[in-house]
Amino acid sequence: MKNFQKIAEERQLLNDTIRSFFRARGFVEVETPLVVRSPGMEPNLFPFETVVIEPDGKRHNAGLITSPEYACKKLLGAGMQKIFTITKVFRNQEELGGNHNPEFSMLEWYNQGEGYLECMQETEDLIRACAKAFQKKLPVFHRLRVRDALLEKAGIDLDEATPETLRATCDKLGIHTDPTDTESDLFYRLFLERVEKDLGEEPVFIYDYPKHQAALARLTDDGNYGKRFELYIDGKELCNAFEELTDGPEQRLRFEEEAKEREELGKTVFPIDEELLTLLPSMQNPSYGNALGIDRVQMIMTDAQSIKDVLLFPAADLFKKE
Amino acid sequence: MPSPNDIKKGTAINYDGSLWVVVDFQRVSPGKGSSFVRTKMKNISNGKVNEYNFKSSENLTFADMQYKKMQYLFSDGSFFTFMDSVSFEQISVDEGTVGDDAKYLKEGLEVTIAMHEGNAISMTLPMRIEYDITYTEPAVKGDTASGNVSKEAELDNGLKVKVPIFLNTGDRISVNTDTGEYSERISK
Repeated sequence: MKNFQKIAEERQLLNDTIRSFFRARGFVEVETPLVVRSPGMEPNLFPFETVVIEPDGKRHNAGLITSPEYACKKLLGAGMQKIFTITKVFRNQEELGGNHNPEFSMLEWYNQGEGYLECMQETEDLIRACAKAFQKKLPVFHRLRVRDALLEKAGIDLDEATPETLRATCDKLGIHTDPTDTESDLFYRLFLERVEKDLGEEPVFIYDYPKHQAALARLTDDGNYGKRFELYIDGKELCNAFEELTDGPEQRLRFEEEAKEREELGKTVFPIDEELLTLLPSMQNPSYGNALGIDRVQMIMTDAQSIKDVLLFPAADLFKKE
Repeated sequence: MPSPNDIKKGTAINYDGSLWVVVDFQRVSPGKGSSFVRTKMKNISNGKVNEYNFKSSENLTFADMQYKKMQYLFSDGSFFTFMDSVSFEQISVDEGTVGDDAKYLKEGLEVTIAMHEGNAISMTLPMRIEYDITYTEPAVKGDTASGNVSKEAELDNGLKVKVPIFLNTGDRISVNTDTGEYSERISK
């Protein structure tokens, strides 16, 4: 039986803690639009689509944001230094329950002039501040490079890996592959089976992803990895952070690749956000951005088993009546 | 061709020379690249459960299945007997195929049985099932104040669930079979 009062108070405590944390560090809270022309280009995502209609009947194809990223980066390009936003984001064709809900609450924050390792420490500080508010003890936060994880768990060195050696490693470990698998697919199969599956309960930052897994990240000095990290606690993925790419032409190239992939998958291709590409080069280097799922943080803080236990109106209740 | 995106609980897949039935699945997406479906499947011939990650764009071979509406009749502990609602033909389904869902069964309940070449492969329950409460403690004054907003109730098939304290023995409720939780009170 659902305790609405308790869930609402816990969410309030969490949001208050997040807001105090960032205000104390000089961040400004921003509101970003939910209905936009380009809701996200990622080939994997299914944005909710809609139409904006003007009084004279003029129609604009639109979608609900899958992340406030584009709007936030425009604000950085326009000169804002440290910003955060707490917003609803929308992703269709997600599970209703478990760790997923088609609309969920996202915290994103950005800081110009700092790199992703500073962001990693800040993320730990934030989660610890939340844990303190919930009187919860957290163990040490581990830090694990993707390369080290695969070297230990799958016996393959990503510095020298090729699609052939990745496939051979899958075969040797009895991991299912498909003839159409790309280097990225083969890597991800190994990662899913050997790394993500037994990350354990303790907090762990996974960082420096192979560059084919880091769409919007700057590369490490050796050029092999993207400066990206994720935080897992109790096997749940809580955030995804990047040292941001500020190269307009490179970003256009990646958007075009993604648009092509969407087209091949038969998905709606949204227009490239030209304003973003214009403003991107005005961002400083380095700059970091992090996107963190607030519902999942609440799950960790309250030991909830399903996202449904931290939402007043989970989609499963709204749509799965029969 | 069926794709891993069409996988649902109970889907039967021909894979690696065996017939498997999906017991659980989850979509996973990396930051970039293809998405995958993490699929837990049971091998029909030996009962072994394995996990495979299928890329969304892979081709899979789904087995031809017949889905029949059947009424649950009785169980002798290791086999469960169901009756075809149309032909009145009876079939026996083993314990392993019914699995944990056995606790929701009660006489006369209509379920969907997936059949492959005459054999029962899986059973799917209705989303919600109605039961009568056969016993629950009466509410005690002060329970709400102390935060005890739910209590245990025993249902007419022996299943036990947490229900809100305002419910009494003899009330009719529905239970969500996805979560195993109390769903709502049915007015008589």
